[in-house]
Amino acid sequence: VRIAMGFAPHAVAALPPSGRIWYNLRMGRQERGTALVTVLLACSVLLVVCLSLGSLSILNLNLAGGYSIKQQSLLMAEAAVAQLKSELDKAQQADTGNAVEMEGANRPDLLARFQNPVFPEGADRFPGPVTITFDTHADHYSVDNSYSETPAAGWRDRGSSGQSVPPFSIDLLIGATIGSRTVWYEALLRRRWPYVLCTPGKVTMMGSPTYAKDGRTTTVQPSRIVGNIFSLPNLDFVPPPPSPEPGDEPYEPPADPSTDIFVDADLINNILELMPKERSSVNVGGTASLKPQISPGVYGMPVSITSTGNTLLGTVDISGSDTSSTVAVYPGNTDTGSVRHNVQPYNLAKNLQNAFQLPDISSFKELQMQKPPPDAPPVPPAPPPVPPAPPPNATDPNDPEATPGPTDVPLPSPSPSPSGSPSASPEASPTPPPYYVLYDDLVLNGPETPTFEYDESARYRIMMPAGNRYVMYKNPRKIYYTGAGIELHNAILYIDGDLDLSSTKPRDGDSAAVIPALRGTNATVIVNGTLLLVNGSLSASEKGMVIFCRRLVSAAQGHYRGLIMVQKSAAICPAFPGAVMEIQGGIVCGGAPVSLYALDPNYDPRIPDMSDTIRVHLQGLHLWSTRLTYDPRYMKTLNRFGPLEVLTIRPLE
Amino acid sequence: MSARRGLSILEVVVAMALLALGFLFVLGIVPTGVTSIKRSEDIEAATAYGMELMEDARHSLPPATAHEYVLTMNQTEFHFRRELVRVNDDLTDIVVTATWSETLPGIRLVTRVQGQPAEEVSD
Repeated sequence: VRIAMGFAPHAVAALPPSGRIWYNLRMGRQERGTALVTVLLACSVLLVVCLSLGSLSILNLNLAGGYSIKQQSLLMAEAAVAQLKSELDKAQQADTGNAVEMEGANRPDLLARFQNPVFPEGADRFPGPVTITFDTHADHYSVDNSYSETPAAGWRDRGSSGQSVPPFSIDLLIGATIGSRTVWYEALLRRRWPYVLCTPGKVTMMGSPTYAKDGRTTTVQPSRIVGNIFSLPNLDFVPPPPSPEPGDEPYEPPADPSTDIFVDADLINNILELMPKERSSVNVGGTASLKPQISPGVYGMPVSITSTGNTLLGTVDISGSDTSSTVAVYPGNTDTGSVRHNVQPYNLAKNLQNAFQLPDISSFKELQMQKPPPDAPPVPPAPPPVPPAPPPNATDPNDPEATPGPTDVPLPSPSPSPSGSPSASPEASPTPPPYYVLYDDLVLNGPETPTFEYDESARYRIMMPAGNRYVMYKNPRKIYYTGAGIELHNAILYIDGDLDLSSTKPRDGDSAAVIPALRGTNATVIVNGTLLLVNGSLSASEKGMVIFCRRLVSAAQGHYRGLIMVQKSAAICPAFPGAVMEIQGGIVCGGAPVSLYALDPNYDPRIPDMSDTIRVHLQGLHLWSTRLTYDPRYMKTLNRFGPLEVLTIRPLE
Repeated sequence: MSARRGLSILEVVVAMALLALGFLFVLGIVPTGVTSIKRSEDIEAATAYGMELMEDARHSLPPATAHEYVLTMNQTEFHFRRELVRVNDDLTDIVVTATWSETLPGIRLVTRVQGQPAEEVSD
């Protein structure tokens, strides 16, 4: 065995002394020097053990210290985010004016701000300095893209064409230094309008979620809201309703936003048909407070209101919503143009009610009145080209295009009265105001590919009230309905007056057949008056739509994807009991009161013999059997006014 | 007896001296390592509990009055102190300090949050 191990006896003598000692140790022989070698071996083992112990302890200490530093630096980074959010929130709240020029001086200059210390106060409390820079020459620089609805290039995209900063977001790079070690964090903050429904007035929802006793489903579908609600039901914020006597109100075209409106009886009958279900209504609201009152969740039945102050609660999954290319255009909702808006998250009640700013309409192309079809019913006499009175805050009086009426509108020529005897009474034949009669569907098309650049072809305006209803002013007094609707593709339509699409109901009484009344694809409708939709459909494609009006009364059905902004009150009910009206996006409603008058079907405010007046007061927002679902993709106009939320904060690798 | 067999006294003395040096080295290293490991554990425990105090305060801002907590972990007595400092009308600093040794420095966790400390509730 020894020979096999390589220690042949005859070769031992030839070994060097160390080898011989080693050989003797293995053979169990004692020889001088053996003890020294043994001790040296033992010492080596001890040394290795000690070094291992020392290394492990040092490593452990470093890990523990690293853990502590990591936690401290994370807290410092979060403190920096809180500091930034606080300053931006204050800047936003400071914009108390009625017109917010968010692209202008009110927007904080973060580049200049963070050339100064991140913590202007209390920096000595932190274990080290914190660094933030928006200078693009730095290695780790932040990007403020919070006012843009398009992505932007960030520090990751240096040297490439990538755009890693999402729309309405701030990509924040934070360096926290503790001792000699700097840890970098990246935080992503996003602005988002958090409310599906926002009004300083009262929100009333109606519709029964229960089944009838005989087992049949109720004809009134429940209203349902998915998303956060902002409401201030304290009526101290709402001015008292005016108390005009029906019939005493002059008809003032275009509609004055401060006056009540008159609608025809069909709509009111629809609403009244639903109103007996009020016992199952849900009033959403909270305590009177200037703080946002937020109620989360889905409402289809009575709910308890949760007051959470400024804390946002919600069950809405908004993940991935930035991937949409949806552009719901609103005039000025571009990166190149100015944005004037009044909706702000924290001073909504103060600014919303009477402070909507209509866009500059000088860039709109005036629409020419359509000629009636050959088989059209008699038309009203041609009105004189009376320029409509500009509503307050609506147009610039110095704008030459805004003040005069359309002198070249080819209004239909007068036709003889069916009775053949023109009325001699001036009361019976008043001069009708200018009114844009929709004989056929009005289809407006913009460019195929919507751009953010100004494009005149996509902007249209009608300088008077418009609609598909017109009145014979001579005997017999009759109202004719053309049934025409409006359809917009990549276009913006401005109507300086009411838009009355109040008769899309089929003549044959088939309630199931609904003529499209208002439909849009990547479109905006601005009505400087009241938007009336009766028995029609209201729909918008996935590209979205924005409706902006002084008042809204809608009895329609359809799937509307977009934003509805109403300066005063709104009432939305289905076209008929059982119809489904679904709004995917959001509603902002001013909450100021509105009175609706329902009169005889042949009623016209210019005809004096009014009777059987039904009057309904609206305050705030009334939803009957309407499904409202939060979708921030269709609220890009508002997103820039939303508060910042921290999506992520993570250390850089 | 052969001169090559057995251990010389010199050899034994040298070996014992080396062993003594080795044991001295071990005796020097082991306590330092053990202390270091203990300190690591203490730092981790203090940081973890300090973060708990921090998160607790961030979730619902307590009154600004400083509170001290004494906690024994790993056979070590830790002294925690949590303090809220108003920065301005919107921001509050939360400062958590932990000490457990008179000679070694403790840890300090500081962050800043939006909000104001809760009002003091008098008994």
